[in-house]
Amino acid sequence: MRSLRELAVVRTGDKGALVTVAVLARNPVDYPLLARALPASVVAARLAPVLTGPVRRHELPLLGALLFSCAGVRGGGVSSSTELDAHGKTYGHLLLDIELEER
Amino acid sequence: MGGLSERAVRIGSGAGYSGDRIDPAVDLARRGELDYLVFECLGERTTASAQLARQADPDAGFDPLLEARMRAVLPWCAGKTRVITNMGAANPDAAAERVAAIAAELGNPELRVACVTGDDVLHLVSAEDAVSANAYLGADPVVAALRAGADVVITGRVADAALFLAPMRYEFGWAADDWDLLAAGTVVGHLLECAGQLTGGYFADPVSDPVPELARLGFPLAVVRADGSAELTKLPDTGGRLDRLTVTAQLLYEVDDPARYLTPDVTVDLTGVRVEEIAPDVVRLRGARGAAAPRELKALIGRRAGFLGEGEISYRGPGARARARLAGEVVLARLDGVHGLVLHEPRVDLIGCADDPAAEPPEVRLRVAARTASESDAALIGWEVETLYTNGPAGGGGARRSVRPVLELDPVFLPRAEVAGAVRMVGEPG
Repeated sequence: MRSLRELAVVRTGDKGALVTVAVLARNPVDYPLLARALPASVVAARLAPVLTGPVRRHELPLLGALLFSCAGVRGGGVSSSTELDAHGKTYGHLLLDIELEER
Repeated sequence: MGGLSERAVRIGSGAGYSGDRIDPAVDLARRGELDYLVFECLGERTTASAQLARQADPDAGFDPLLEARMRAVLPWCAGKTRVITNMGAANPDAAAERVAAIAAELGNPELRVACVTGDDVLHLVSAEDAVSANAYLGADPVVAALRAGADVVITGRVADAALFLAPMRYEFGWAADDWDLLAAGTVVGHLLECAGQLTGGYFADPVSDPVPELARLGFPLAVVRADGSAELTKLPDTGGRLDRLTVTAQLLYEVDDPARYLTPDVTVDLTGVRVEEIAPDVVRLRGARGAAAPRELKALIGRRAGFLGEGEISYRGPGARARARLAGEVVLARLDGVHGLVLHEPRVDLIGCADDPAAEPPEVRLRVAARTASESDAALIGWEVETLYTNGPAGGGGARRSVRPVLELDPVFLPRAEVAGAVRMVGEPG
């Protein structure tokens, strides 16, 4: 098992009630492992406390990256949320302790 | 060397948001040998808040740092670097007049300042309670301002990347429907629009992902050629790092569907983009593909949605979590029982415990927040947190409170024909 933090960096973005999380392989050779072991369902489960909507996954092999598009951020996004982190900018880092199973 | 096809345009990024640092922009203006310096300063919330400021004062509604930024960079830009910015926010006319006045004060009364308007579409919106409505304009009116000879272009809600695409279209004569070139230019703009987020800001982890000299983080610049190829880099002797990881992170930032990234100018396909490190802190980009721009323009409607009241107080030592939780219960009971407050989306956060039900951290900060209809109601929330000092659990300290108006923002999509950007040169009739 290897932690996501060991293999990848994350970048969180926000647009209204959507949070985007890009997961980038530090070394491109690890992209296939990310693509195999980090499905949208695992990300959705980890973000469940702060999300009300579905998570979609986009694969970007040329960039060595996965992009997760996460709908329904708790509080509704930056404009009228009562959340402390109304954007959801801290959420991507919640993924970093996910353990990925190597085959 | 040096045919037209070899000519490169240097575009620097002077700000990534309204409140951004100014010293890296000055450094770029001074040492970057830039053709253009672009300040991207509008967010979803900033635009609507600026409209409220203008409604309160007809001369207000532009970026609070406009004057400081212009005073800092214009002396270095004179005669060589044109400035493009959406710091006009809700009042590009007044902002442009202010910039012309600053230029005159600095001894450059000949500076040609243009303002771009037309993004304010409140008149097109039927919603009665709307206080603002701003369409995302594309590069067209900024290109027109450059053609008219503007040294400084001040806009309202022009799409972030379009501010950067405009000088490329102007310099290279790219057609408004050459989708692959517009996509290449838009990708460069998308990478530059958050300034320090390309050069190692919003990236560093001191253990896993160190960034050299983060305190001296420099802002990026792009060197773009007529065929749309581009290198991204930063100035020597600045902090930060610009490499495959920082560039890829920003490439995907705030992107919903990477195969169809929608902008007013072009629909961009990022899936074929390649990011190649060609030297330390120099990255080459290629492979962006474009398709026709969306038929409609996005606009954001702002509506008043009451006020956000907040209060915070800290507890430490053994039992801190339980005392903070009790404090939160007491505040909610008093807001209901004493004040009869109706709270919308109330939150009681135990900061430091996150969402972990078992956490017993040595310090816990209670935060109570909610929306209310009136400003005075919102103030009661922070007040009842503060009264915990003498009326709450043991050992509460460091209370803070705040109240601010809330704007709700909703997107609408408008036919392009209904939205027209306009250009006016300061000192000339509109």
